[in-house]
Amino acid sequence: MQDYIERLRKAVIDYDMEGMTKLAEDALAAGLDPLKAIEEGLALGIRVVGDKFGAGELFLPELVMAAEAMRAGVAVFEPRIPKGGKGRVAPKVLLATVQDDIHEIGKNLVGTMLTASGFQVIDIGVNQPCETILKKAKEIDAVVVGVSALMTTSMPRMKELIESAEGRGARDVHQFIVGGAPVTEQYAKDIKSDGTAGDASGAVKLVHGLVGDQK
Amino acid sequence: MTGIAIRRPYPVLDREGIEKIHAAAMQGLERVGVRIGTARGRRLLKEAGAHVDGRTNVVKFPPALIQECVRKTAKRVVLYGRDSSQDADLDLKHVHICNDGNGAMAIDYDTGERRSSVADDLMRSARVSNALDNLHVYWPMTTSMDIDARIRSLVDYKLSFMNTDKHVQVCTTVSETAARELVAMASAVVGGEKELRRRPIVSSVSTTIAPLQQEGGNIDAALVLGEAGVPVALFTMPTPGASGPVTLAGSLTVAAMEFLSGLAMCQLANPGAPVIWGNGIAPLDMKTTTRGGGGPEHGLDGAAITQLAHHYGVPSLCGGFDSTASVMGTQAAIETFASGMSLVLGGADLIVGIGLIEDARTLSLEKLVIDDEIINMLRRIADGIVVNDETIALDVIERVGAGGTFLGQRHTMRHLREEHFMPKLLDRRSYDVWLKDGAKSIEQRAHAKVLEALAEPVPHPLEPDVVKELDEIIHRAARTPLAAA
Ligand code: B1M
Repeated sequence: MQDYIERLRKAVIDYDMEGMTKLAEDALAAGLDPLKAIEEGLALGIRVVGDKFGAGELFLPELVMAAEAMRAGVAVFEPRIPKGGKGRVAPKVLLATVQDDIHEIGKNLVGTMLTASGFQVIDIGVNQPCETILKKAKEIDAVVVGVSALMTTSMPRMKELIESAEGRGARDVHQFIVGGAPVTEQYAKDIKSDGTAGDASGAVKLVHGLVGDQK
Repeated sequence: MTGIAIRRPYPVLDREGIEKIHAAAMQGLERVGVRIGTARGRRLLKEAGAHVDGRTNVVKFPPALIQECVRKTAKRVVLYGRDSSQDADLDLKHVHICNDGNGAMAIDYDTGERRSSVADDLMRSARVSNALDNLHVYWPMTTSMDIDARIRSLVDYKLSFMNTDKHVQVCTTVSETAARELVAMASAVVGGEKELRRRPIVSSVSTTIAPLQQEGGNIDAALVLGEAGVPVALFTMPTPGASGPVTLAGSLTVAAMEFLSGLAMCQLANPGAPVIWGNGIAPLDMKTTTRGGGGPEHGLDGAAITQLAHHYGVPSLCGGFDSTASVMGTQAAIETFASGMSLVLGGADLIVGIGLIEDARTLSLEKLVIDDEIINMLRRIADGIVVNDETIALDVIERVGAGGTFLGQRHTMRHLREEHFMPKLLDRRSYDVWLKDGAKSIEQRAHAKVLEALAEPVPHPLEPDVVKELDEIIHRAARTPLAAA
């Protein structure tokens, strides 16, 4: 079994996107516990890749391909985790770009880096109304809700999101982080968010800091 | 008429390269298609014979449809100034320069502090722009963060009209309503929609979403603007390696597919409408995850887009003179030069980018002035070397002979000004002289020019009743939510 865990870890590190599905199926057939496969195999592999990227040893496409390999593995293992038992412990982060804004490159990078740091990222895409974001956050029980805005005209949507979370009692259920080129520390403070970051690795640090004890 | 005459553009692509990219784009449009986010656009395309997938909104284009639409496109785009001395005729033979726009931050010209941009920054940027040698078209450089978001871009237009007589190009018309508001304001300035159609003093930029998507609001706006005779730049910007192939030829092909699909909608809605091909293909730095707008690739692929655009008979609008540096300084200057050079040499019709740092985020008035000097140098390089009997000057060489001097020859003075680049901001004085004169850096010298420029009056200020009319339009907009408008 240990051999399979080792191979899964390595498949992520070597971004073996093509071979992952078969390897995962073989591991299941051989009786590997799916939860263990994710947490000790895939997640540890992606952590190694994330650290190397953070240290400037890898290029972004390598990180993205490793995350892709991980995703392929999770897709096989996750449905096989017995219901009712212990689930994945990785905290869930919900990501979206706010309404009226379609910029997504930065948000996607934040998602990739968070995935590479072991978080479960659920990305609902661009141009998302506050309503949809809050509904989804509740549905998946997100620990952190992160929104991106790249335009000064769409930034007010972030304030709106936090206000409407307050209005419906969701403000203390999730942590809210904001980001994107025009967002400053001051703005993040002014709208009473839980913080911002200037780039994707800063976002990882921020989320780590916020969920620290949960991980 | 304004612009920098280009004797002989330096080609980045050869004939075969242009043909190959064109052929690949046509095949891609037929086989892969482009997702069209506007119902109006899809309807127009379907009626013209394109295949529309009702579920995915992906449209596939028969080559004949694209060819017909290219034929219909206006062959000459003139970006008219409020004063005709400022007209920029995109005749495919001149390079025009435009400043970068919509920065949300500014370096305060007085305190040096980096902060959110305010309306005063926009006014100052226009006034400094008026003083530059090589600034032909004005983009509202910053966005006024001290103004309510609903009317912010309208206030930015008003301040632009009030502070410069140059053509104003904007990139904030992201819905039909926003487009109509721009048309209303520009019409108020020129005295009606008919006059605006004759001399459009504004144009607008609509971006596509790479790879292969047309955003609904942007295209709907482009169609409204086309109807009013306002030129539209379809700005394609796949990020090589992220939203386009890492190979520049591949990203150029994606850009061509996006441009041609947008052009088709513009021509089907308004045959003959003036269209410009915009380019912002800049790499994503694969280690820092920032956009490398100041990379050499940005200018290189813009020069290629210019060749492709000219192949279709339309002018280009290319991002360049950019910098990702966090402060004005050596890195910013290097990046600005590197991303701008190929564009000037390549004869790009309009180059946008001077004056902002942090990849189109932060205004530096000093950078505007420094970039202007960079362009003066590039002008000289682009001008090349003219070879004829007068310039070879064998007769003068004979007169001076071995060991003589050319300093006292009339020939020297006759050609000096066009042969030598004449610095306006660079300091070529010797060390001692420079030291005695206060040891000023180029940024300090640029700052002095900023102050000089700000002291100058605005050319052709708007009449008070026009300003009043603009204010009324803004007040009306303030009372209508954008969604309901
Ligand atoms: C949740 O927690 C977090 C934490 C950190 C977070 C975070 C969330 N989100 C981001 N971060 C942080 O980490 C990321 C990774 O390091 C970073 O993300 P960034 O997104 O900042 O960085 C990315 C990795 C790279 N950067 C980018 O991808 C953005 C670059 C610029 C050039 C840009 C691009 C590429 C695009 N654009 Co747009 N675009 C510009 C941008 C100028 C700029 N430099 O910001 C900007 C944002 N655009 C602008 C405009 C005007 C527009 N754009 C538009 C469209 C587009 C494209 C589609 C062409 C493309 C986006 C492609 C895509 N699929 O995302 C239009 C928008 C339409 C709409 N409804 O939204 C349009 C309106 C143009 C038009 N007329 O069509 C300007 C906004 C002006 C303003 N002041 O508000 C703009 C500043 C350019 C300019 N100077 O004019 C950090 O900010």
